[in-house]
Amino acid sequence: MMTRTVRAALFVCALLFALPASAQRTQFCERTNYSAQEITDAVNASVLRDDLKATSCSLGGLGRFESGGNKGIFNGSCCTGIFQLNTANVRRYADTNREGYACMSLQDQVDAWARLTNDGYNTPAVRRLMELGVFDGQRVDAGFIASCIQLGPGNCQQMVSSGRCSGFADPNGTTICDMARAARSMSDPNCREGNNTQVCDMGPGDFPTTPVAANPPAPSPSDIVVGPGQI
Amino acid sequence: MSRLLITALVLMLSGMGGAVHAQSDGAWQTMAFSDFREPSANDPLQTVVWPDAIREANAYASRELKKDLKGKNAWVTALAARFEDKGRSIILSTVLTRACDTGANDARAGIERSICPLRIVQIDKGKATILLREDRGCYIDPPDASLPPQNQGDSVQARFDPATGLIQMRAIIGGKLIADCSRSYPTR
Repeated sequence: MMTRTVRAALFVCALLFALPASAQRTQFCERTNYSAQEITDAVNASVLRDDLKATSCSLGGLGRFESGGNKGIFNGSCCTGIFQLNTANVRRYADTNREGYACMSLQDQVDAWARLTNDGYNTPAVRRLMELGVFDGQRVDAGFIASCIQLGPGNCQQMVSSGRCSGFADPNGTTICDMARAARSMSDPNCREGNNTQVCDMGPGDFPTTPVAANPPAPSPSDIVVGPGQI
Repeated sequence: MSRLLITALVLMLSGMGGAVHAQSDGAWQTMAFSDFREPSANDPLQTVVWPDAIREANAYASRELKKDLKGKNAWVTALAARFEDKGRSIILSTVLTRACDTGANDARAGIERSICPLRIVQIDKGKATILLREDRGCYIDPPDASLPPQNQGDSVQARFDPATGLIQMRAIIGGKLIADCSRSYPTR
């Protein structure tokens, strides 16, 4: 048990310290250290769709995983803020540049991330994952869905098409499955969610699929037509 | 249609000014960056190529971001190349909108291309025609000083073969060609 815990901690540390080659981190505005619970609270107060809020404890962990709770950090190449939005998404979902975004309040940053995540929810990769329910041995829960959107729907589609977690990895070898695991492990162990205490009672790592499955995607068009008498 | 004709006339009178730079010698050219926040009645990218994308972004900024645009446009940016071919102009452009796939949002990620709406518009004898409306191609912001040295040459490039009328497009990030950014489009 201890070995497993140590191994998980080492894995998270390795992910946290991996940075793109030559990238110089820049601190804009004040350095912050928001806790997983504070990030979770901002997620619950955001425009994020309700079924993803049901597991917002893991999303607080995702914020800690991405930025260590520091909303003013730019990673030196692409990504800024509490959830490390890339520069294109900062422009599209916050209508500002990376410095302007880094200096926004935690809530405004989380709102921009929530808009991005809501848009990503309707992409083919996410729809397919939700149909599958389990992917490469991992349960597809809201934390997994958020990680898919976080690493980019195109990259996520590459993973889904391959059928394996290893089907997509960023230049440092981080997969979407790795990210989902790390986010869960960094969520607040005493996390309480305003809208769904049942989830929090289960503790980090235990994520019901029910809230996601309760809102299935619209049916896809099919070229197979089965008449009533053919069943 | 008459709106397109009027716009094309304006463009001819204005000498097709703006950020789109014409070159048709077959060499690769970096696609020029345009920022649409300042509305323009004589920028072909705003009036002919991407008016619907700008409208949609403005609506999103007002409705969802609760932004008072004060007569400006939302922050929409585009890349474009213009080629001259036997009296006609051809504009190739990609635009950064919510319809793009912009890659990873992750502290360990580097710069990635966005896959965005791509259009090709021809202006011939005062008439604007959209040759390609619904394709997708690569978009990258021009590098700024805060990016790593290996990304200072990042660009999306295009060239036009005057002999065949073929437009080609490619992207370079960190000194490497990005495979899924290669495109070829016949224009004749």
